[in-house]
Amino acid sequence: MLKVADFIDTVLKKKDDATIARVNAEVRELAEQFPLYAAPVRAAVAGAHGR
Amino acid sequence: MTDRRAPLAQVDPTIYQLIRREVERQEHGLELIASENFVSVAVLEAMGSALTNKYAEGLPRKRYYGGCEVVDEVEQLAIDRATSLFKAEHANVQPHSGAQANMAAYLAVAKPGDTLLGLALPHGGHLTHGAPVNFSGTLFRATHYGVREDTGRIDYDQVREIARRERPRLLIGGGSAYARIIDFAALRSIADEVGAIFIVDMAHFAGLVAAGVHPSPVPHAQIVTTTTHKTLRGPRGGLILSLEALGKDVDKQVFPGLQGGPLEHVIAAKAVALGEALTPEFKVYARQVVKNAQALAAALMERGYAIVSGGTDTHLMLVDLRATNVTGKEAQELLDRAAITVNKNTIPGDPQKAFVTSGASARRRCSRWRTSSTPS
Repeated sequence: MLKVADFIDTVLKKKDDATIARVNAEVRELAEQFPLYAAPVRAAVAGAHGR
Repeated sequence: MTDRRAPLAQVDPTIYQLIRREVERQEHGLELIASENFVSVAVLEAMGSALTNKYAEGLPRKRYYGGCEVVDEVEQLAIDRATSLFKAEHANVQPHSGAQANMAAYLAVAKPGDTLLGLALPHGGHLTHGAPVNFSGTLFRATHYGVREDTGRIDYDQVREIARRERPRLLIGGGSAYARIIDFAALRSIADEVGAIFIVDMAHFAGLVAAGVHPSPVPHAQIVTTTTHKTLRGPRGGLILSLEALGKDVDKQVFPGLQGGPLEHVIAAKAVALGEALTPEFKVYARQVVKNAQALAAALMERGYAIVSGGTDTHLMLVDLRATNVTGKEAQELLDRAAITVNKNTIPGDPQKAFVTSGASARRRCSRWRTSSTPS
């Protein structure tokens, strides 16, 4: 949560493109550590029929 | 001719790619919108099932179509799980949305032209609690209570004073951007004093109620409505709980009053989500959601941001940006570019228009369901 607060604070205070791009990359890196679905696209679109 | 057995990627690659892009967005961003969540694969699977093919107007074992024996069992299971989870006397699992659940609830116990008293939209209420642009503000004579400017919390003395003056038929509890526990007993006593029906819209905190980490409105309100897709972590839809004595009136307003055939595939997914919410793991998850939200609120305050009401008791928080040099709209857009999704929101006493705002609503990192027991 501290990291999330830092992301928000940094973006709202700095506001420049380079900072936003850097935070975007850090957010992506963090999110990748906590995958939502094992096979994200397949799970979302294949539904109950196992394709 | 379309091959009905071909996968989506082959039949409609455009839609397939758009879904793929959205899944990528969800996978790689920080979703902090308080009304959103991530459902399990099991919920997705139920929603994407062949139950979508079935018409089933009516209720289990009282349908207007044949062939409903399987969906009867599905819907009854959803009803039983909802009443068991929330310790309610009656449940209707058919509303397509929270707004429709609210409309059915209101019309079950009031008629157009009656007076409604709800939390004002700029103070954290919801559109369906009497906003002039919504059915609740056009069908009913809408009056509102608010929060105290110094505390950001509901002023129950003000609610009582307005209720005595306006004599509402409906007193609505709950909201969209109110982060504190609501005193349901106090609102019920006010409703009783003025002869109003007390309805609670627990859409935001239903999952917290289900897990026992937030007080339940069910023992206090005659009718409780909710969406199933926020903290309850189910498919997009609505649900109404009520006293048994009001059950038939609620059911009649949902169908045939407002809706036609129920979405049995979504009801199946609601049953799955309600089943998940009955597990010990869900209690751990919900407890962590609140801890995360409180940790985020504290961390933002340490960095100089004002949080309306000084914190949160739930999954959401409202950031007051008036002391900063960004509006809610600007904050939302800047954070969007950094893959952090929040929503702009009016705050009590907001000097900005609703499309600009001085606030941003956010919540904890959503305790992604696969890692829900991991403190983050």
